[in-house]
Amino acid sequence: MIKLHIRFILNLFICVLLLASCRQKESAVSSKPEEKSFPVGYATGFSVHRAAGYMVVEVRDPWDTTKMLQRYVLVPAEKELPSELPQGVLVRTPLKRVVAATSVHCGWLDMLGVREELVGVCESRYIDVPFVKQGLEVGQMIDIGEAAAPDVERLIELAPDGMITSPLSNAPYGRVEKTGIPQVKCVDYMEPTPLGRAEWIRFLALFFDREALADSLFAETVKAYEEVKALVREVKECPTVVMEMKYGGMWYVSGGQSYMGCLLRDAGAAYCWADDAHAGSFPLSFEAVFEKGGEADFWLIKYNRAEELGYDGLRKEYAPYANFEAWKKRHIFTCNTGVVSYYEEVPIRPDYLLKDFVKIFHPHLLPDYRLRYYRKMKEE
Amino acid sequence: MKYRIWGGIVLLLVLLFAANLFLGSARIPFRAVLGILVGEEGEKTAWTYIVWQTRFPQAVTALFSGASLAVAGLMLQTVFANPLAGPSILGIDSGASLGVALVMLLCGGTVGAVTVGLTFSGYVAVVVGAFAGAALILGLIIFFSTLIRSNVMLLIIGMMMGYIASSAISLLNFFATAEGVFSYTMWGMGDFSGVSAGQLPFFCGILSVGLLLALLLMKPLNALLLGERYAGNLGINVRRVRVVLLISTGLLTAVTTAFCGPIAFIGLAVPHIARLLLGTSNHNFLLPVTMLCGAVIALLCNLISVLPGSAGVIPLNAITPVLGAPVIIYVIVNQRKIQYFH
Repeated sequence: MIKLHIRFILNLFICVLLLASCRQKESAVSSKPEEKSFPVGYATGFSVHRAAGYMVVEVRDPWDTTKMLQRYVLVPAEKELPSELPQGVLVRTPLKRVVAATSVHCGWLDMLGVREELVGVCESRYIDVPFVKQGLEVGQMIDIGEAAAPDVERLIELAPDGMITSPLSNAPYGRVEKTGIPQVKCVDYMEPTPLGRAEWIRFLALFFDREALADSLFAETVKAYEEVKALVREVKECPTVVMEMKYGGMWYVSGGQSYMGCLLRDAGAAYCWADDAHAGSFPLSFEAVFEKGGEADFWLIKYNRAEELGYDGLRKEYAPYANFEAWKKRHIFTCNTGVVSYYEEVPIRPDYLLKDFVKIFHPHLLPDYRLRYYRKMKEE
Repeated sequence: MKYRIWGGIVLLLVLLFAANLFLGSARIPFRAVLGILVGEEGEKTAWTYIVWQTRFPQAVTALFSGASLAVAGLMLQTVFANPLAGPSILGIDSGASLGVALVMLLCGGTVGAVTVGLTFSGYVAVVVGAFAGAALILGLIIFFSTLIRSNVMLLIIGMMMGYIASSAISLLNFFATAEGVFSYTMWGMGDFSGVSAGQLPFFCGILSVGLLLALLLMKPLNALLLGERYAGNLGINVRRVRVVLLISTGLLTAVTTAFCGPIAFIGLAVPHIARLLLGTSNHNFLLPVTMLCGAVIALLCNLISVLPGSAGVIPLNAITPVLGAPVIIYVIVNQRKIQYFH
């Protein structure tokens, strides 16, 4: 029994990390002027240094900023190995056979035009990317099991030259480590800003020689994001906003300095926890949320269910929800992540979500825009 | 002496119940709460809502759940003549959890679609699922108890069945959506806030039935202390007592588990606290005192869970073992000195 409880707590911890975004803020753009050939503008978690014949890519440990998570030394496959290389994981680029652990990164590979290179995935039941689903069906790709504990035998049999992982703290992937297959550790989800996270596609692209494509994709995202953000510059009144709902006794709230906090700020909203210093999310009791957010103008909820959640259903689920002003004024918007590709798209295109937010909070600024992820909550 | 203990516990119960209404993560001034309780309009309507719609139901839920789990534990300890029996040790709450997991993770029909948002009928489904799971495990344990005389072995069988239920749950989780797993995990951490004011009558009503059945069993339970044969000689219909006990324990464990999650250690530790306080195993005193102690401990745990204030909440199941496990260790270490153990 006790073991079971420990597992519950462990599970929770993992969930918290999944929901969290990050905790540091300051930028870590490479400091030496001669190495600015690959400037990283928004992301804080990786830096790139070019040298003759190779490239050094460093990923910062998002959980301990004094440490480095991984250093990669990328050498193009067609070139000879330089005699002296800095320490780090040696990767010959471009990678030809890779395994991806998450749905998000499968989507990125698609955008980078390297579908063919993907030979395996983890937890295929959670993956909602058409080309992967098809690849699995025809046997072009295989599922190597849980991301945290992949089937090592299958992995070795596949013989990939790289595995794209998304490590949770320091815990998993020990088994992969032992196989000697280089891991491309994408800790993009720990970035505290939407554009910072989206910039990680440039990091991934380095391993496939797709720099130019990634740069143009990212530039497009930045442009679109800044355009939408510019719309709210003149806005006088910022509506107050509360997010999500409670699970069990806890209501996870995104901190003021988190990814979500940043998006809401950019969308011209006054997030109820905007002054909060957390860069991740943290659990609050219902009453703590209600005290601060009970009067909020808008309430945005994400869920994943077969049936649509309506005002009535929300009240039936937990009657005190109906005391929120947003419930009374019918100002709740919901996003059913089981129906829309929220988790697949938003990491790389935060401007899509930003546009939804602006439309919700300031409808007059985008009169003709139709919401992409959220919709007005229905009565039933 | 006994009446002094009674008085002390009742006083503590009242104080803790009040503390649960006055203290919480939202800082509401003492006077404001007092005003709200006597029916005045609060300074802020939000405060009125918080006191009446979240704190009050939560305190009542904690009170009933604590009493129910403790009594369920006591009855199991007596009927199995084993001081280490309890709903969580015997795997009964794993059975209830399995029932809940089946309803929560599988209902909704299509693969990948999970109904975690439960409407009222949904809640009834969860309660029925929990009851079926708890009753199944309890029934199996009672069946094995006819085959196996050794109580320690029986306890181990209970644990094994708990493990089987847990592995079935793991399997269900494996096939559920990430959000379903998250919601199930959060439920598994235990909390008393899941019962809203509207559901309170249903919740308290069913638990009252279980508690009443337990009170009716006081005399036969005393007889069972002497052993089944003696109890039979005293004119007790042992079989019927077992069935009533099964229904009562199953009901109490299942309903609390369905609404509040599997709450560890209250069922196991509280009967011992009551025995240590009273120094007797006479159920005429022990049973009501166990109920009261259970309510006191649950209210205390609920209070501790909101102590960090606006900084967050601590899950209930992180608190109950810290309070419960030392009691059990104390009892085991001092078993020679403690009268009631033999």
